[in-house]
Amino acid sequence: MTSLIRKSLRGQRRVLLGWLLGLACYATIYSSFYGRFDEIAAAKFDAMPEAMRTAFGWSSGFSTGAGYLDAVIYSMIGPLLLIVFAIVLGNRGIARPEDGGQLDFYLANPISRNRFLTGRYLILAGGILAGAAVILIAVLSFAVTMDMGIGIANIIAATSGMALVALVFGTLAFAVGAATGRPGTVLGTAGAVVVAAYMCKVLSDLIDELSWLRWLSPFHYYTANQPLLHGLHPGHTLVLVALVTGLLAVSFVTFNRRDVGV
Amino acid sequence: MTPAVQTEGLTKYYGPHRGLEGVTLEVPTGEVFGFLGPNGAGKTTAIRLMLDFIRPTKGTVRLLGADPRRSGMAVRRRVGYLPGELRFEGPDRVEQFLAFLGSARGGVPRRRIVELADRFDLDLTHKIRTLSKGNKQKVGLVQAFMHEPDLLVLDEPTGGLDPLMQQEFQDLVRETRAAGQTIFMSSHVLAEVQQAADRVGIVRNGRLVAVERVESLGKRAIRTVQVHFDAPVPAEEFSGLHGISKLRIEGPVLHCTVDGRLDPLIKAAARHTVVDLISAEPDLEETFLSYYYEQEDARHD
Repeated sequence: MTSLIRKSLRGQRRVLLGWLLGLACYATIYSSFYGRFDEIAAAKFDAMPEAMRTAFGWSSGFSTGAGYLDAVIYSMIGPLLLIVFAIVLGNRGIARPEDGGQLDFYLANPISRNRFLTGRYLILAGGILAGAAVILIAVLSFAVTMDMGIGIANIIAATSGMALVALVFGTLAFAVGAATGRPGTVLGTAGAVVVAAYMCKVLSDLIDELSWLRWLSPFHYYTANQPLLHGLHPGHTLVLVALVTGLLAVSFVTFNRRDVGV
Repeated sequence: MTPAVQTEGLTKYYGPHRGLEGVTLEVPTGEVFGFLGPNGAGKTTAIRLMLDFIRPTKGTVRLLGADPRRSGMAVRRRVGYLPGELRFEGPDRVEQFLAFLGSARGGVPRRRIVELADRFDLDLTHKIRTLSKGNKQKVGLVQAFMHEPDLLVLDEPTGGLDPLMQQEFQDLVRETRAAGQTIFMSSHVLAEVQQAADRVGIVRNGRLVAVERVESLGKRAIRTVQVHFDAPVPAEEFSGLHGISKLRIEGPVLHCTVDGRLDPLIKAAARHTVVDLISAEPDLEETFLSYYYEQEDARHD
């Protein structure tokens, strides 16, 4: 297993390093701007129409540390970046190498399909974990030095929630790849589901009659409890974990059943 | 003894498209079996079924006495496989790649890898991505042979190799056979199969149309003959002769193929003045084609 992971990692090295560097820059730059955000600018943001703030996921205003971090990182850009990273990794798990005819050299060995899937999935999970860790370190260092007034535990909770949402979509991409082996299908499906899920959340916030839509969106289970203020909601977190588990089960069942490399 | 490869009614459809139809075949341990056919005949499909990359629509396949699906791990530990199309993931150097495969198969001594790489004149320090087609093929061959598997399944093994390396491959096949290992290799190159194999199976349009020992194919001795006369000759004198086909007369030159003895043709030709006679070596391809035609004729009659 370790040799399989090491071998697979060599193939993903550049993607992983590039993304981790990018995420680190993003989190550092945005966190560090907190100091330059004077009250007037914050007030201007606060004066934006409610609907617009909702659409961008800025729920608690810019004037507090939690509101600021929520707006620039945790509510939209951060999760979306991490999700794109997760989908890239999910696609590279099975679909991309299979489409490139590269699976023969793995599966012709005494490596079971389950073992192969496990190894490939661990790289996806590890990549997201590393991405979240990079963001966490950047945010934490500024939150502490600039005294943003947020508990460390809540920053950890919000980052974990964000990582979990990314893992849901990354696992979706992985599962579609395991089931079909087609990168086009993976990217199409995952992209459509992300957009639909985000729209469900936004519409449910904006329109009262559509508030039930939020239950369909993984984003809701991450943001509803306002993790930067109140930490993670155990029930909601469990829903996300269940989604990941379910999608992973689909990966194993479908990949074992089908023809590979056709 | 359990056969190394055993298929029964092996059939694979890709949706409505036929990949393989009712192939029943047995390759005993220690044999070199050539699986011969034109592109798209179903050779790769059969091989991918053996390795459990794809699953049969109907029929069964057993490798080394076991089901490659249920006992996949145990089977593949004893199998060396060369894909027909070599695609490598990642920026590995040759030795990193071979080390990974070695460890996946429970460890291969480095000495063995170096020895094989030297034979094929393969530099282990190069990045695989930068290698030429022929050198990639060598990587594929080294990994297939390096763990000394009981059964080698090779899809178009000499593709991209230069003649010197093809000869090296033939030598390796002979040594492998002498060591008691079994080789199942597909090819559309008749010469390489003729040289290396004990038996040959011919596959066309997804069906196994013939299985023959290589020697007995040689005995059928179909050859092409040209007879040059000093003047044009009438075709009727030759057309009815035993064993003669594809008769064509161009002025004073007679072309034909002869199956079996040359005697009837020689006797008939002797009535005229013969300037020259050219008889080409028995050609396996002709022999195979005659197989095809016989099968087709038998079906149409």
